Formats: sequence, structure tokens, C-alpha cells
Amino acid sequence: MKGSLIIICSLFCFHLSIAQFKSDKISIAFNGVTLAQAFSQLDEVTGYTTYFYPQWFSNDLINKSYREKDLEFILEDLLKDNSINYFIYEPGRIILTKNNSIYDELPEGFFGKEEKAPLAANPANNASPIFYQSSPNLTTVKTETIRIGKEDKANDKKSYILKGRITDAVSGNAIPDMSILTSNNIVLGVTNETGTYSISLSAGRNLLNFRGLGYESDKKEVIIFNDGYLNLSFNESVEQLEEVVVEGDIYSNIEEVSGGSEEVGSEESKTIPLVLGERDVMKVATALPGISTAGEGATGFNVRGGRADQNLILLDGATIYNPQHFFGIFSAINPFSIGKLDVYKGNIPPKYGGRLSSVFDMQIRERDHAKLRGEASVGPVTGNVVLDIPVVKEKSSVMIGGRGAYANWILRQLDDEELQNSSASFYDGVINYAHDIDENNELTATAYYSNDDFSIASDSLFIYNNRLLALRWQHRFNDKHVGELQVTNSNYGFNIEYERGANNDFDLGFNMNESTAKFNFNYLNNSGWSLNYGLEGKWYVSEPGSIKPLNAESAVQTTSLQQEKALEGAGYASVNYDLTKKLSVDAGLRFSVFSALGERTQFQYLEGNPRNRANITDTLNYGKNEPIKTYGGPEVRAGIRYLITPSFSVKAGYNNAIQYIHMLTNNTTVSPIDTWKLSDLNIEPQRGQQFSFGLFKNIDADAYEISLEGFYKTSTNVLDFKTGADLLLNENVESEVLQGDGRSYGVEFLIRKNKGRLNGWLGYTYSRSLLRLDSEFEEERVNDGEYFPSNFDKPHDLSMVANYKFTRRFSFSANFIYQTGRPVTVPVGNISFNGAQYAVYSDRNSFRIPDFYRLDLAFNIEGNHKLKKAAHSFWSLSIYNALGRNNPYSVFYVTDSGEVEAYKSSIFAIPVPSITYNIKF
Amino acid sequence: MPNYTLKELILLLIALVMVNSCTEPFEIETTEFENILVIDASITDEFKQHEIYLSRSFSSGEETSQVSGARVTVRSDSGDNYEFTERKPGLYVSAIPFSPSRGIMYTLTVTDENGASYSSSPVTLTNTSEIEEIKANRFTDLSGTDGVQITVDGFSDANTGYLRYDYEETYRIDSWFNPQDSLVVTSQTPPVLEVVKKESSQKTCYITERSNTILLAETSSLSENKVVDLPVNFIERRARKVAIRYSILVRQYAISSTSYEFYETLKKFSSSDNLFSQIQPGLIAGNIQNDTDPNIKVIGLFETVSVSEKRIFFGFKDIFGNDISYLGSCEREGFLLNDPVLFDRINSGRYLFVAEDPPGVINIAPEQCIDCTLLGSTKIPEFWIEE
Repeated sequence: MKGSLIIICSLFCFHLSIAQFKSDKISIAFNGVTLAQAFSQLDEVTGYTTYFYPQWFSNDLINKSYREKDLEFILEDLLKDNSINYFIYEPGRIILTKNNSIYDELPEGFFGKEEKAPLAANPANNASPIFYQSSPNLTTVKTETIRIGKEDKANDKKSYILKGRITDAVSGNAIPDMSILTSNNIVLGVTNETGTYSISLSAGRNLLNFRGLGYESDKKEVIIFNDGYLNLSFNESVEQLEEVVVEGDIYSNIEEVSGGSEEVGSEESKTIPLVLGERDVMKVATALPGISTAGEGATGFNVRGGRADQNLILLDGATIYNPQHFFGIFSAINPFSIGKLDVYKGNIPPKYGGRLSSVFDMQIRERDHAKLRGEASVGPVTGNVVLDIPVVKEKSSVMIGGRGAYANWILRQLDDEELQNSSASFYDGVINYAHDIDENNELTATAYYSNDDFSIASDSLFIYNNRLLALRWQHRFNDKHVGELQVTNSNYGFNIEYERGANNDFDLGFNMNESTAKFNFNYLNNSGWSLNYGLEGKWYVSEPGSIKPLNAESAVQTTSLQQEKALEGAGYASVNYDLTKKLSVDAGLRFSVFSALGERTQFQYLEGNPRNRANITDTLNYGKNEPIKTYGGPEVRAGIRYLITPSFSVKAGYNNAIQYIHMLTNNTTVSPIDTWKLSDLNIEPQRGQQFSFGLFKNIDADAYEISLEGFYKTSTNVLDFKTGADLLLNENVESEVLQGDGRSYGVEFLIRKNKGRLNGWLGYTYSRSLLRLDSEFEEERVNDGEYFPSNFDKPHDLSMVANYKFTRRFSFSANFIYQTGRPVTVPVGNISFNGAQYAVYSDRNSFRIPDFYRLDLAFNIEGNHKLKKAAHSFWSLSIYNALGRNNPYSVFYVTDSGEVEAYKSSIFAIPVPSITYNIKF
Repeated sequence: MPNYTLKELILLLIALVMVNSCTEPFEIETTEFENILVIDASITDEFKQHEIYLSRSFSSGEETSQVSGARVTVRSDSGDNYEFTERKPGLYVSAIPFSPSRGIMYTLTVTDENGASYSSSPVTLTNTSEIEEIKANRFTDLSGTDGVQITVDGFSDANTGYLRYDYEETYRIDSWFNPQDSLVVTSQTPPVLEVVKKESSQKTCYITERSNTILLAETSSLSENKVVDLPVNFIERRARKVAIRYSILVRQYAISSTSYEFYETLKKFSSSDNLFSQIQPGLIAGNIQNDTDPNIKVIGLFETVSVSEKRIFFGFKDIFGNDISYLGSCEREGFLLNDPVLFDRINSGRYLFVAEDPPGVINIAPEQCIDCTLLGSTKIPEFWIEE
């Protein structure tokens, strides 16, 4: 399969290879052989491989001999009586084509972009990839290349006539009124009643768009060398929708109804400068407007001013609670295993639920089950390898990936005692099995595990891990109706082992387990509407905390908080309907219900009093699986799009959601020791709504994309905490947290250049994120109950990603990020108390840490494209934080001998160079 | 640049990156200073004249500003009022000795120097607790330093017992030199020095220091409402504190959950044991509010707590045997009596006479080598027990 893939690739990029071709003189004699045999003989002599269909040639025997001729001459001579053309690709391959041969499958992109896009039908999926790796003359869209006529070098006509008939692929009936347009939408011709057309094309390469009502829009690359005929057949738009997803047409970002969604391809991420040599799709996502990271080296993202727990992060449909390694410096997902990442920050499709702010949907890379393949990288801190192993050829294959950090080994080599006692290591592994049972059934299974352990203070060891299992069966009922059943289980746990040598050494643990079953159906109709509907059930089991003595001397009593269980169910449906050619709507509704279940004890607090331990009036005991409290409600997901011109659209959306799970963190930055809490009798679910509006414009087809989006969000019951709250192992967590109102709004601007030597994007966001914690009681009120900036309120956020290709082998990339410093609470004076001095703090979040900015640079070298090279290699030299900016990770205050001092800590205060070697075979 | 091998360079780089995350002091732009009344009112169950401290917040680099001219009263719901009078700025002492009784609610009212009045929530005397034992054991801390660790065992009567500890250390120091005579300036012009008999000994002194760290324990999550081997203090073997004889008085207060949270919050604000997490700071609430305007900030804690205390003594040899203890570095210098340098030094007061050795040569040494009263008092504390 690899061979044939190369052919296909070669077919549409041959014009590059001709320039690179350098031939040697060849002497060869053909004595009474067929043309087919002649080519095998030629292959033997030259070392080239010639690709052709033997049936193109007659069985006539030839007798020819050549002396010191170059390959071109021989090929020309051999083929002179046939309407067969040749091209030589990447010295080593000769490809023969019949004048207008039609190839039934092509890859979506250029080299390295072999992954097939999934057969998802949701139009949101066709946001075009962020990065095009194409060279100037190529598009990454799947475009069939057709050659018309045989090149005749004597002919110098500037234009030729192309005629033909267009028919329905299934019925064979003529398709009338189908337009044939140039790539910049100039109509060349329209088919008549009998489906025939006649157009004039300029000599050489032409990119034609075919558009007909009820039929798939398609693009063909036609290379015309002479007047000729081209008959084509098209599928109805059922197929079209599927195909549109495969490679969004150039206006997908304009035509898609929902705003605020992005797709990040894994391969694209490799041109982003790396940190310590690891590429990362999540990093790419956080460089998009509206998404900001919590800080340097801090895990968690804030999407459009939402809390870090409001992001649903999925790998093949299973939730990942902590998607990052080592304080967020590395993504927890093996970059070689990921096909793409869909990010929804605006209109979240109703098939997703349970989080207010965003969905990050990662898909394992699809494979062709054809050949053993692999990809490996070695960086300064990590090593990574992924293997694709076919099980049943063309039917099924398994992908195995493993990655690990060898920092521990390095730390132990060092003389410094403190460093020797430190530990920082992680690993992750992924196995994915995909089986195409028949053309209507496909089964995939994914297992994933990641583990981190690190100790910074030498008395405590932090360990956390994620485990996921995902099973998906996709079934096609008919051409219009596709369904899938998905069953997943995910587990997130962490432990802190605290060892100080006193009698309170402990091992503290937390665990969250979530199982999901989901039926998802897509119905696609050719008369302008499509339907997505389904049912989802989720079962949560959480061990919110346990503590046990770490050793025999420890006096710590083994205690654990009661297990929390809950059931969440949801049904959803959404319709995408084109009201007119220009106006399209997405109307979706999700109805979710959540029930916290026993066996548990819940506290009842005195009404009209602050919630604290002193005001507990009753202890309620619930039996096994007895509902404690049920919450629920409708969630509306609606969007509307109006096309002002084919390349300019206006979109508006309204979206609301309910989130039944909360992250408990008493840090201002998300750290791996956060625990999750299910809603219960005293803690209500978070609810949020978002209004969004956007303008989308493409210039020069999709060479430039410009968008301007605005949003306004409100939320209720957002969790925050009292000053100095103690959340770990607290059975009265409700007495430590506060639930308040959130409000955020902003404007996002994005300009993206998709083509040319220089590509990349520039995004700017102005946004505010505010929180109000009000109560009639002093101790439950923050900043007098007024709105104040949330911990992640960063009004200005600028990111720039740029990639410049010098040649096909050398490229340079840079990214730059600027963010307003996040708000902090600062000392406004000192007090003396009980013989020591302490700081007195301001109102919450009334100060900001210094602004954050960082420039990363990378230089990428692709291995040379040598003849018969088995493997493809890639070097990346990068400098993280090239400006050496000391971006504070945190700011804190220490009272030492009565003196209050402010400290800031940063993870990478110096430029960090790294070099990584990647190999792909 | 020193010569590194490639391996060393790589290791160095990675070490820099992986672990040496950088923590450095930095200058916070001073925002608006807020003037806040601070009330520290801890009444124990001892029968005595209790003390209440009033101060105000102050800007960094300034001195604590003590509150003078305030009116402080503790009222009980049984009708007893205890007035506190100002002994010195910031310190208010009850006019009569008293001890709070169990089952009675007490309230603190303060009228500050500006006439603003503040009241506490009513509080009651906490359950009793007891220190069972204080132990001093030789211990090597995590950084490998040899020393003595003082630990406490205690228990609380309550089911959820919140305990707070403080301590007072007293230790003996001996001067390096112990001359019987001293050299005094009898005339500036002409410069005349004279050896006279010393009036009082400067040989042995006792130093008493109060702890200023917050030490808390919660018995609810430990077995049997007990605190076992809770580290209270660690002193290095080579410290002067433990060079001769050392005593520590540990006081254990059974406190309310309000007090516990107050102290816990204070403590959290001041410690940075984990670089990678951060406590959200904010105004510490306490249990005292302004009577008329709740927006006027006040940081104050009023508590009535039961206290238990215990004292232990140990000498250097009890813990460390014959190992090396504190080594002072005192050297004497010899001068002829008419040497102007000698006169200048004695005249400055920073040098004292050690001995005349050999005859005619006056040996002197820095004053801290001779006069321990610079650090402590020669008066033997009442509780002091020599071995």
C-alpha cells in the first residue's frame, strides 16, 4: 500500500519532481519483448520502479536498442505510439499514466498527511486545519488530478477545449445545471439538459470546482495538454457531506454554522517550536484566541474566561481528567498517536455535555491497516515510539505507542544532593485496535495509561495517573444513516506520599472513575438538512480522599471520605438545516439529568446561617443507590449562519450548559493535586450560558482567513473557596467553598495565512473574566460581594505562530505569546501578631503579576528525500523562551524572622535549547 | 568557561531545566496601604492579670504602631466585667487577676483611640488538654544536620481537639574569658588606663526567648485524640543554645475551631513549603467586627482557652555525649599599657580586659567574649535547675 500511496502522491506533484530529475546515460536493448516486459527490464537496468497497468499495453513485441541515451529519451521513444505519458518522480520512480485515467482514491494531503479524516458528519469538523504544509503550488485538499491529452511539445496553443458529460454516479442519469468554476469562482460553463458541457481552459494546470444542486461539490485538477474529453460522475450530497469532512472545501470555515470551533491536526503541530523536544497538539490549541494557559508550566486552560474545570477533554470519546505531564509542560497524550484535535469554545454541539466552557476532542490517528509503520523520537528528556502493526491486511491493525521521560536517571547522575533526591518522571502508553469488519461496520478499541511522579519538596512525592478504555462500534445503516455505540471508562487518581520522619507520615489518595455509554446517530439528507441525535449515560464513582499511615511509626489513622456516586444521563438532538442557500441554522437541544446516589451521609445546615461545622443541624443517611438529590435541565445549543458572499459570513450562537462536577483547588493555578467533587445535597451544579457572534472572511480562496468573534458568558454556582480553605479530606467541603456568579466577555480576532512559504496565524483576544461571591454573611463574602477579576482574567492575549519554509527540507518557525499578568492578591501592610509579623492582604485579585510573554524558535530539517529511502527523518532544533523572559509561575509571600518578603518563582527563566530527532518509516 | 565534557554539559542543562526552577525575591509595587486595627486577645484559664495587645497594620520597613488610649473590656454573660488598663502603648492588662469559668460566654469590646468600637463574637472556655511528655532526642534532620529535636506528646479532652503550641527557651551561656579584673579609662587627656577589680561577674548568663512560629495540631485525624512526637523545635548541635544547659517550657492551648482556622490561615500565608502550589491569600476574618460599619477592616481574635504546660532541662552531654559543641572564636591580643591602640580600643567600649600575661603585656578581647550580659542576664531564673 505504501507503494501505491507514493504513486498517488507523485501523481499530483510530479511537476516538482521533473525539476529534480538528473539522469544518467543508459544503454539497453529490448529483443522481442512486450512493452510491459520492456519496462521491467528497464527497471532492472536503471534501478527505477515503473508503475503502470499492464493492460494499457498490447502484446505486440518490440525490438529496440539504445546506447548512451538518457532515460527521458528511452521513455519517449517507447511510448511514442501510445497515448501514455510518463513522469519521473523523485529519481527512482517512473509513473505511467493514460491520458485521462481516473484514480478512485487520493490522500488528503502531501507526505506525512496519510491519516484519513474520519467519516464524521458533523459540519463542525470541517474547520480547515490550522497549518498547511503545502508548498506553494500544491493544495492539501484532496484533489483528483486528471490529465487531458498528451503533451506535445511542438504545440504552443495557449488554450484548449474540454468537453464531456457529467452523470450521476449511481443512476447514470445526466446531471444538468452543474457549474464548472475556476478556483476563484469564475464560472466557466454549465452542463445542459443532457449533462454535457464544453469549456475553454488555459494550457497546463487548472483547478476546477464542480458544483451542482444536490450533488457533492468537488474539485478536480485538470492538466490539459490538448483538446479532450472528460466524463465525470458525481454522487448525491449524502456522499458529499461525508466527503466534505474528508477535506473541507476552502470555505468550510465560512459555511460552517457554529462559530468558535477549531481543528488542530497532529502533523501540523510539528512546525510549532517545541519545549524539550516534544511536540504537542494542546500547545497549538492554546495558541488560539480565547484559550489561555494558567501560567508557565501550569496545567489547565482557561477558555473564554471559564474555569479550568470547565473543559471536557476527550481521547477517543473517553474523558481525560488530567491531560498533561509534569506541570503542563508536556501533553499527556502521545503526539504520534493523535490524528487530530477538535476544539469547541463557542457553540458546543449537543452531543457533548457536562462542561461549560469547551470541548477538546482528540482522536487517535486512523490507519490504513496495510503495512508496518513506525515513528520514533529522541529528545533531551523524553523518548517516544509508536508502531502501526497490521493484523489482518487492509482490515485491521493495532497501534502501540509508548513514551517516557528519563529525567530520573539523569537526576541520579548528578552530584548535587538536592537534585539526586528530586524525582520527576512520567510515562504513557497507548494501544489502539481498529478493525474494518465490512464496509458498514467498523470497530475500534483504545486503551491508554499515563503516570507521573515527582517530588519537589524532598519530603513529599506526588503521583498521578490517568487510565482510559474506549470501545467504539460504528455502523452504517444505509448511505444516509450512520450510528455509533461508544463505551468508555476513565480513571484518574493521585497520591501524595508525605515522609518527614515524624509520626504523621501519610499516604493520601484520590480517585475518580467514570464510565460512559453513548449512542450517537447521524442522519444525512440531501435536501439540505441533517440530524444528529443520541443518548448518553454516565456513571461516576469517586473516592474523594483517603489517608493512611505511610509506615509503622506513623500515628495517622486510616480514614477515608465516603465514596461518592452519581448517575448522569442525557438525550440530545440537533438539526442542521439550510433555510436558503445563504441562511443555515443549527438547532440543538440536550436534556441532562444528574442524580447523586447513596450510600452516603450528608449534612444539613441551619438555614439563614453561614455554612460551618457549628451550624450542622442534621446528618442525613442515604441507603445504597438511593437518590440524594437530582438536578437537571434543558441545554440549548443553537447557531445561525448567513452567507453575505460565498467567502464572507456572519454567525450567531446561543449555548447553555450544566456541569455537575467541580474541581476543588485552593491554588490559584491548577496543579496536579486537584480533586474533583460531584454535585450533591449542598453543592449545586454549575450552569452557564454563552452568546456569541462572529464575522468570517476568506481572502483569495482560503489563502487568508480572517475572523472576528465576540462572546458574552454568564455562569452561576461557580465554585470558589474561602480564604485559606482546607479542601483535602474534608467531609464538610461545602463549608469551605463558595458558589458564586461568573461573567465574562470578549472579542477575538484571528488572521491566518494558509498558503505560501510563510504561513501561520496571529490571534488577539480582549476579554474579561469576573466573579462575584456574595452572601449575607461576612465570612462567605469576598470583596464586599462585588464582581472582581477572576484568577485567570487576562484582558490582553496575543499569540503569533509563524512558519517559513526555505526549501522543502528546511523550515523555520516561531511563536510568540503575550498575556496580561493574571490577578493576584497582594499584601497591603504588615501586622504584628503573637510576636511575629505577618502580611495583611488586599481585596482579592486587586493586583496583577508582571505580564507574560515568551518567544520560541525552532529550525526544522527534514531528512533528504533519497532514492529508496526506507525511513523519513526529521530534526528539530528549538529554543524555548528565546528571550529568557522570567515569567512568574507564582507569586507568594513568606514571613521569615518577622520579615514579609515577596517571591516569584518561574519554571523556565532562561532560554532552553533542545534538539530532537524524529524518524518515521 | 570551564571545560565540561559533553555528558556533563547535557546533564547540567537538563538539571537546570528540570529542577532548578527559579525562585527569587521581587519588589511588589506598593499598593494602597490599609490601616487596620489588630487585636490579639487570648485569655487563658490561669488565674492572673491577662494581657491584650492592640496595634495597627504598618507599611513594610516601619515599626509596629501600637494603639494607645483605647478602652478594652471583657464582659461575661454572668454579668462580670473585666476592665483592662493600658500598661504601655499597645499592651492592656486586666485591672484584677481573673480566670474564665467554664460554661460562661465572654465577649470582648474595644473602643479604639478614634472612638470606633469593635466587638467579638461570644466565646466560651475550651475543653482541657494536657501535655503528657516533652522529649528531647538526638536527631538528624533532612538536610543531614545533627542536632536535638524537642517533641511533645499531648492529648485533648474534646473529640475534635484543636491544639496550639508555643514555647519559651531558656539557656545558659558562659563567657569565653572570665577575668576577675577590668581595665578602665581614668583619664582621657592624658590617656590613662587602670586595672581595677570587677564589681560583678559577667561569666554566666541565662537567655530566655519566646517562640514566634505558629505550631498547630489537630487530634481528630490522629489516633486516640492524641498528639505523639509532634516536633516543636530543632536545635543544631553546634548552636550556642545547647552548648551548656538548655530548658524549654512548652505550652499547649486547647483552642476553638475559629482560633484554629485563624492561626492556620496566618500560618499558611507565611510558609512556602511547596513551591508548586499556592494558597489564595485574603483578609483574615477572625471573630471581631466593627460595631457600626462592617466594611471597616479589623483583624482580631478573642479566645478563652485552657492551657497546659511542661518544662524540661538537658545539658549538652545528656544528648550529645562527648561530641563537639559550639565553638566560639575568641582571640586575645596583647599590648603594652602605653600603646595608643590599646587606649583607643578600651575607650571605644567594644574591647575588654582579659589578663596581664606575660607581665607588662595587657591582653584584651572583644566585649562579647567577656561580657555575657550583652546577650542575657546573670540572674538565675527561678525555675532553673542545674544538674
